[in-house]
Amino acid sequence: MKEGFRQSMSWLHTWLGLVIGWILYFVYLTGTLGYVDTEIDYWMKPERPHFEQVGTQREQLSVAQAYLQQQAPDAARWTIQLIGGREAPSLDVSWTDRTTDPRDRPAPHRATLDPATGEAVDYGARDTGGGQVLYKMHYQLAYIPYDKAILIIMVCTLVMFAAMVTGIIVHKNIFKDFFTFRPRKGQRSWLDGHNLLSVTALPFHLVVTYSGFLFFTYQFMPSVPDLLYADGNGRSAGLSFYEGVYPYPQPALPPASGSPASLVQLPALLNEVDRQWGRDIATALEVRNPGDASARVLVKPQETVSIAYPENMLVFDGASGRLVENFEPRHYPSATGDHVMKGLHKGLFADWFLRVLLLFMGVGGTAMIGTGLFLWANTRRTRLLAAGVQPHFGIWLVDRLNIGTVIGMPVAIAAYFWANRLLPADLASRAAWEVHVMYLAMAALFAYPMLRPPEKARVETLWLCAAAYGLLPVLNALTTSRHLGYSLPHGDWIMAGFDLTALACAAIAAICALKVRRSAAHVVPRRRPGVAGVAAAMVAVLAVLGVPSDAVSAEASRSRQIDELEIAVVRAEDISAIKTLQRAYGYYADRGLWNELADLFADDAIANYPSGGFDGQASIRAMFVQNLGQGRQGLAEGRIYNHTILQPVVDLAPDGASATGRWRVLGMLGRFGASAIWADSLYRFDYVKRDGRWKIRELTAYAGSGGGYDAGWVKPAPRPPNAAATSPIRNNLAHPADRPWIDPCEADVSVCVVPFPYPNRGTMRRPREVGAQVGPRIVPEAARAADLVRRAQRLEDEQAVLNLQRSYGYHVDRGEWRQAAALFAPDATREVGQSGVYVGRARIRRSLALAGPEGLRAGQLNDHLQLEPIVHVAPDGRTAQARIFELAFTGGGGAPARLVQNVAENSYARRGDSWVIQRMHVYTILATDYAQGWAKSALPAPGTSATLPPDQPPSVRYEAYPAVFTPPLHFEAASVGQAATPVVDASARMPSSRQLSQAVTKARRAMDHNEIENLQNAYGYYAEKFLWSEMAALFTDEAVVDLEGGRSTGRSRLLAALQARGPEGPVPGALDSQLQLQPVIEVAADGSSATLRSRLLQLARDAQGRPMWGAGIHTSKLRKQDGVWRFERMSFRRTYLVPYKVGWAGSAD
Amino acid sequence: MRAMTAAHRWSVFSRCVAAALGGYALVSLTHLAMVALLPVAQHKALLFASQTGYLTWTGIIVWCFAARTARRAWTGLAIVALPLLLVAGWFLAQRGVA
Repeated sequence: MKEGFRQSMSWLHTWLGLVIGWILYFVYLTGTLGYVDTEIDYWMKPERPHFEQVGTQREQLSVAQAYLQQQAPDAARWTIQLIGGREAPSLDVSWTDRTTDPRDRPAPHRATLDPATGEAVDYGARDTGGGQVLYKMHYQLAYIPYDKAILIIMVCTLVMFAAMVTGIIVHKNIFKDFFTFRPRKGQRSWLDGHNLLSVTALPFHLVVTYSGFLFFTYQFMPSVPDLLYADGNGRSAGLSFYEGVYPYPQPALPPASGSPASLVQLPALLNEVDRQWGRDIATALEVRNPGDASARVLVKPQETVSIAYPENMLVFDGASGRLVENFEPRHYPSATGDHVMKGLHKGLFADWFLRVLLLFMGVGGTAMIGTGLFLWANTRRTRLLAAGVQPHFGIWLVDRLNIGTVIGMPVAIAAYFWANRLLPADLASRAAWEVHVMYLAMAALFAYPMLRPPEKARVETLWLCAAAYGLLPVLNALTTSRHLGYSLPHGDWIMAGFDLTALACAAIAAICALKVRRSAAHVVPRRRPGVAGVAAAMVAVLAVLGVPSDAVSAEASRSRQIDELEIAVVRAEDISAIKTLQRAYGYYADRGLWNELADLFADDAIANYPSGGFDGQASIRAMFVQNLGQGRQGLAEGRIYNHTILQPVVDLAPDGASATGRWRVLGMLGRFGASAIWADSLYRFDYVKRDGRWKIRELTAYAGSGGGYDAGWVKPAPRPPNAAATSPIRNNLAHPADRPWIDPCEADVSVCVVPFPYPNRGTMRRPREVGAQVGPRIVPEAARAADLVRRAQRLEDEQAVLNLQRSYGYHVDRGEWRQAAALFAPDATREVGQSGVYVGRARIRRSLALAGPEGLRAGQLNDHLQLEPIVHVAPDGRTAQARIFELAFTGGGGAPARLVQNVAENSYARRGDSWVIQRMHVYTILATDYAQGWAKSALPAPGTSATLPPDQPPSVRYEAYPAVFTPPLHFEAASVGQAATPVVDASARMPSSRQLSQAVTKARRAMDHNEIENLQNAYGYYAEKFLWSEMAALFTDEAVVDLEGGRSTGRSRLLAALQARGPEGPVPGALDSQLQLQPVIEVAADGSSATLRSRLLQLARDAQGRPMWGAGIHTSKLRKQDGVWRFERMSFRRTYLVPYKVGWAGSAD
Repeated sequence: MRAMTAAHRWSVFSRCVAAALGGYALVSLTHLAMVALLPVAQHKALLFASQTGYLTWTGIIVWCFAARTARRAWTGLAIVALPLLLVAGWFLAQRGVA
């Protein structure tokens, strides 16, 4: 099914629970009422008198015998129900007439006797189904043939049991759940409640469900019994099966002798009964053939004496009064098991204390199902909203059915009680009409939520429920004389108990209604153990009528929701601003824009460069201008000073006031005709947000690898020990350093692991609560909310533009001209170097194809790395602009290898829900023949093509390297690092709750993009230092990883496979810089999974120490588990691994 | 949200059928097999079998949805059913019912 056993079981639990949840809720609810069925009977027959003076059992027996002797001396049998147990609240007798034909089964006559006077009380009880009809609905349902109902119930029981078993399987912490309840945490509270209700009464739920099977096992699975018990004529063998399997032994009783004999005085028998069983255990007597010489008196105990053997009885000779038999049927073991299980199910054995407990557990089970139903809908709705997807019809329907079920069914049962009091006494089929009223009410309660918004319907039906139960005692008082005013003072505890329970139900419903209206909004969850008892009580109260405390009226929680949105938006914008700041650093440094560069630093910034430590922005600026720029802004002609800023791992502090970043800087430095140098080094940055603007607070550059262009990144000559530590401040600088900076990596780069400013991302703990440094508060609230919703959309747009631009690069890599051109607007323009402007998709496609045929030539490389993106989405969200650094590795397949640096300034346009490239202007900064390098070779920017003349001449005339040309920047230097500017629209309408939560989702997804990029980049940082354990920790337990060594399944095997490559940790002299670049990230709609494509560029040395170029693509699937993103799948496809000296063009084969 | 592909739907459907009909058939077979093999009277064995059958069925449901593919779910049921069928066939042949 899904990945992993527990996930499949979780899936199964969820769906099993849903498909039968509504029926099960009904079954549990009405079944629970079965524990008080006779009590309900009593309330529903208010005419039945209440006798305050009941006398002793002996007195009752005496009264009953006198009455029966007078009324029916020749009956076939008498029964006498004594007052005492819950079986009879009054002294009830019945007798059956003697018949000649033994097959006749005449209906018994019944009477209720006043124990004081011995008179029959003809109270003329109303026609009612009472508690019996109500509780039988839990397996007979209603309006369905009995056998069909049984089948439905058996299927539901099976599903219920499977749901419980899977529920147990998915549970990691059954014990912990006993003590865990986190109130007011929305979804989390519901899950806690569901778990708590499930585990606290788990044995009860298991036993009640499993024993439910045993009642109808033949009806459900008749084939084998039919096969075994068929008598050979094809007759169904049901009867003989029952006779064979369920032998209910009866005491042997002699037939009537025909000779009369007077019956013993029944009270006298109680002496022996008390001796056998103890006092007041007897509850019913049955006299067979009273007045006959062979009369027998069967004395039955209260049902509380035994779970399994309520059919025990004492048999007396009716004439002599002698004990004939102490009848204690013994069964074979599985029959005993059957009795015990069924006895446990019925709960007849339970005394009042146990009965209350059973009632509570039954209610708890009902609530367990109710909370499960709400959880199903809430979880899915939250997930869909989080993904920005409109909840579909299924959720709409489930939401409403849940109200109809969880609140509606209790209301319908109240209606049953109301009907009992209000239907006319002489109504034909009155008892049936009670049931009709109940189901009409249920139908109405199912229909009502369909017509109302669920949050309103919930509150309204809850109030209806409160009224329906709260007014029951009032109704009772108005229609009968057995109200609380009578029942309490006269000790009529059953009647009083019913009315008081109704009031309690009303109170619970009212509390729920109030809670639903007020209620809490989403809060960041925190695990906090509570006291199980208190929690259980709270949950039981809350969940009896099942009220989702997070489904609150939009009004009450809106303000908090907006605050939450603001935090999410500002944090995501902060990440974006920091990356823009850092990449602007790269663009400014590239062109020697020293003042702009220095402006990126805070006034009190610290910069640790290889040349030493510089303190304060002024000193840093002086260092740039004097030391690097030799006193002038901009690069001198012929200079190249590229600092391409790559591979960020950026983390925002929980309070949003500061951040850290680890970045890689790929330097391509030198001077035409003089030098060309590769430099690859790592930087740590600390950022701070001041007055709404992000600045660099501290910069630390670590020594990296690199070397002269001709030799590449050869192994550096060994340095003397402690050379770095002893190196003095370089006083020969125009602006000397303020202090020495001792670089821990300078001694030997290959063994140096640059400190990580972050813990391992696979195992790190997420902050429980996060905040943000927000700007001035906008009023009115509606304008503030509308502005945040707009900004959340911009965050999403920014990610979309990034993916668009990077995907373009991947298509160009492979000569997929058609797909690359499809990313442009129909009227888009594209211009590269001095080749002129091509207009329209078709022309753009042809201009792309100037580089080679669709799919490229054999051996041709056309890698166009899309780096250093700075994206600005316009405030209206309709257009966007981006600056990209494009590093191109081309040639091969017959053409010479070229290395090209471009800067693109592109604009984009929104088309419906997606984005297209509107204008692409690629400025060629430097183009060089790979074989020679930029010290020796400077190729001009591409000119106009003879084969495909452009539609328009070049829009900007310039010269590439060695000339120094700065392509115009689409953003102001002053805006870099600046917080987003709010757009205040005083007339804005308040966004809906759904829009707000969608906006939160968008902002969080922007954070997810950042985190996934972090994860991939961190992977590269670990991989290049052979930190196997750290790498493996970034994967899920079951991750499937295809690396060059083969496939590993599971994190532990991955770790073993990595460890097989060599010892963990940096290797002296080794180099394997793994540049993770150009991520394309798609976060799935539910926010819990994502796909990622990331480009690898390797600057490595092989075993012989030769510099190597490597390239490839990582494609990954990621999963978010408990808020932590991890790799679930990863596969690596290598593009090339070639010696630096040969280059990619020479590797064509 | 997981893509609701046709393949996924068919897989769920197939598992449901396996859990329901396959479960019914397999549990019935275990009833027969227990009657055949348990050294107690037929009615005792049958009652015991029908009491425990729902545990078996629950296990079957869990298996049908835990198996990596629907085909594996069915295969697992078939593997268990085979010896039970043999026992049941032998038993019925002995009784002269089949």
